[in-house]
Amino acid sequence: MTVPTDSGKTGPGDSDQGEAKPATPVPPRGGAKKKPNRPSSGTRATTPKATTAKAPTAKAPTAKATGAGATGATGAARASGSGRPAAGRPAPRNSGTKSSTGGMRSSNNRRQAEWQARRRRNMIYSGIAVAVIVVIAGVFIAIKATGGSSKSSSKVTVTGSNNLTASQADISPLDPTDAAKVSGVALSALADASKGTTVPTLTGGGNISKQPPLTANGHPEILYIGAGFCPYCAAERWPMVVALSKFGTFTNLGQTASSPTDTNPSTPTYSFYLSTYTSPYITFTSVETTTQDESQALQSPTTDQAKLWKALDSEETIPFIDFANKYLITGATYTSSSMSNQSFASVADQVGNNNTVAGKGIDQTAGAMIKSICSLTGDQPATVCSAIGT
Amino acid sequence: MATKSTARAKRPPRRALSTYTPPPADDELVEEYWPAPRWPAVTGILLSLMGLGVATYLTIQHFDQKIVLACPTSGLINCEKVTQSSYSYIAGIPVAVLGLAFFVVMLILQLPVMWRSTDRRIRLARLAWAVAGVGTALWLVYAELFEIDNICLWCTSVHILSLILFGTTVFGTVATSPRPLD
Repeated sequence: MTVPTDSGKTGPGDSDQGEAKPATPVPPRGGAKKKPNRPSSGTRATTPKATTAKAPTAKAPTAKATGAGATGATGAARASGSGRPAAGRPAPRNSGTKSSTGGMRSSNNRRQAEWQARRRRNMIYSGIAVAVIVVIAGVFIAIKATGGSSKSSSKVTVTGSNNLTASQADISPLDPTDAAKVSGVALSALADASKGTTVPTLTGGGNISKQPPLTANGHPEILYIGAGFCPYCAAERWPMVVALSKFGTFTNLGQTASSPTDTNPSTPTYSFYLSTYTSPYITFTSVETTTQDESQALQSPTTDQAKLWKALDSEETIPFIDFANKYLITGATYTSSSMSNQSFASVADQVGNNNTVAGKGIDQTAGAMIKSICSLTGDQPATVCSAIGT
Repeated sequence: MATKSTARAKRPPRRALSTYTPPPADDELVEEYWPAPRWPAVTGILLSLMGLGVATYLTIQHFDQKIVLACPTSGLINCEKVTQSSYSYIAGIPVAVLGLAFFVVMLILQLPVMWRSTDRRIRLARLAWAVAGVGTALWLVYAELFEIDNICLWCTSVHILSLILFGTTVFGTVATSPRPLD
């Protein structure tokens, strides 16, 4: 068996005897030519060593060796290079001439060269693969750095998609006196009305149980989706404003009424359109989808919000009020028919008064909402959460 | 009892292990796995262990909301928003848990015995696993930048580890590719 050097000459441990003289013990492949961890340049035979080479296990069965039984499996196998068929073609079994050995040597050289070339090529492909991924990540970062589009930025947009002004959306400025009455209602009245009641817990299987906690800006998020025409949305906005005012501050709230042609016509209410809400405990996101007469769109839920809405309520009911994916209100929570065609100030006067149907309904729902929000904020603020009771 | 005896009698005699020699596969005649360089295994194990640590931390935090991630909240950086977003789940499974599983499996695939293995399926599985990891990381980077609008430093460290693991695995696979026998 010969081991070619770079120059194509035979290496130090070479011997053709294994081929030409089968009975002669062939020295085991040793030294550099046997050192499998070859230099990258391919000059394997340039640094001979006396160590025994690692014998590839069961690489060459003794039967394949051409009469070199005395050398052991490795030596025999190596010696009988001809006994090891090259890939895809039969090997000469009884090559006993120098010319056939030379042919084998040439074949081996070619296979080694092909392997080296393939390895180099694969290294290049690997580099390209890694580079492609780095480039993709780099493009993401570059787009972001240059102010690329962000879908989530629309989540905090409070301006309408049609950019309607408040008056165009049938929304009037809020009377400060009415606003103060509602936001300043005594917690004791809410606690009395809501004793033993809570907002329905978001439970169930399927998509509902898979929803992660809804958060925004590092706080539990309360997502409201409603519409200007909707009478039940009109009813639910009252307790929402009452409850949320205990945890933060609304600015630019307006007043309006539900559709005069729908159920419970002209129910007076607030509008969250164009309003903002700030709180150190929670984030409130509102989506008012249409105007009072349903003729114009105001805001659209984001993709995420729409997906969540659909997941939690396949019929996409309004009002939809999601308390951080822990509690959920869909539809009306109290009877609001008595509020129909009343003035805004008249309903505002009833908040905190549990002796009227509307007043008790608003207080009860507001109290239940406060309890739910307290469970999201870790009972913060303590003054509110301890006063509301259970 | 009689039935059992019959059954035993019908059992073919065992072949003595010492006399059994498995036939050589064709590949074995033309290729050998030379002592592979050790750097893929060493690097892979180190990276997998680092990833395992971060993924464990994120997983614990996911299930124990009382633990606050040690992560600044400034500008684009907001770990909490990312880890509590709707993108923190894939097919209903928390991404943190998927990350943990990824690094556990990757750690096994990066062991020296796995790199020394001549089984092509293991080499392919390791490569495919690394591709899956870096692909998921790319998707999550996209989600953080363009959907959530925030990035999480802990998650980013996992993404970088996944990328380096991918590179190590790819280059390691080539570097340890079987060499034809002389």
